[in-house]
Amino acid sequence: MDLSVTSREEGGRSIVSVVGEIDVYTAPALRERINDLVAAGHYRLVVDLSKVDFMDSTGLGVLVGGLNRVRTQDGSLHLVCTQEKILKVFRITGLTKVFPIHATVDEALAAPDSPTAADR
Amino acid sequence: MPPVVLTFSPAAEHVRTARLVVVAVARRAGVGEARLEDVRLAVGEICARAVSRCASSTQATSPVAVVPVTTALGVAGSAMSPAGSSGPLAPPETVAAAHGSTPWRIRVEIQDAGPLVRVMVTDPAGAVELPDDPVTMAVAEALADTLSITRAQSDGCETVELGWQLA
Repeated sequence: MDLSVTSREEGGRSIVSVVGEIDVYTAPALRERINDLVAAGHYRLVVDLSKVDFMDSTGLGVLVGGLNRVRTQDGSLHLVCTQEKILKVFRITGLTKVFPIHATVDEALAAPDSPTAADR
Repeated sequence: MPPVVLTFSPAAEHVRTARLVVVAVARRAGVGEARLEDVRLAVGEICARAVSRCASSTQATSPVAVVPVTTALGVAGSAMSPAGSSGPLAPPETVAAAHGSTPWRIRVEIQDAGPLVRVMVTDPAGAVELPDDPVTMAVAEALADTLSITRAQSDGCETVELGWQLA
């Protein structure tokens, strides 16, 4: 399996756990899961990328799309990621300024909805 | 090292295979472990771009035959170029082959050309404007040591060449 996407509720947020590789082939599965959550009224999302081995700009596009969707509902989309190879693509594209990125799920759950300067 | 050539039908599921092949060849050619993730991501971006270009092309059929092979995925090693030679960047004869309605193929060639490992990705989609293209190209450019693009020629083929310095 190239990509596994599961979600659970915790601390008033929906945690989307992604395992595998997010690319042009697998990204639609992630997009679908995020869209389903938003459609079901879940607007406070944490996407856990800790176990993602690879992510390209298609994956970034899905995350940006998700962020736009939850923002229209005054929601939030936080990311969990510590891997340098994944963080690199966020840095190249300047998206580290757009997404609050945390080291752990607990840290993401403890963070306020709207990113403050300290989160960036 | 003789060049390695991979061709695949423009399907998203083959992009991962292309990444794996190119990274394996680049590792063998001597690209350091620290740069291999850059190779993986940049090549993934450009191959995904080629697939998207083919999907978005308004051309009903391929303007050129790109290595017609019978299997969905072909990997071929070639001993045509002597080791260390820096071959021309023009798409080889297999790309600009017979005209007709043969299935589209994306061609990836990896050359160990002296100080550089070069990866050339050629698709036959013609002139296509992808909305995300600036992001894709910016990511690839940030990851590669060299990047050049040969826009769609009369044969409809466009080639993106990525290069990484050998340590």
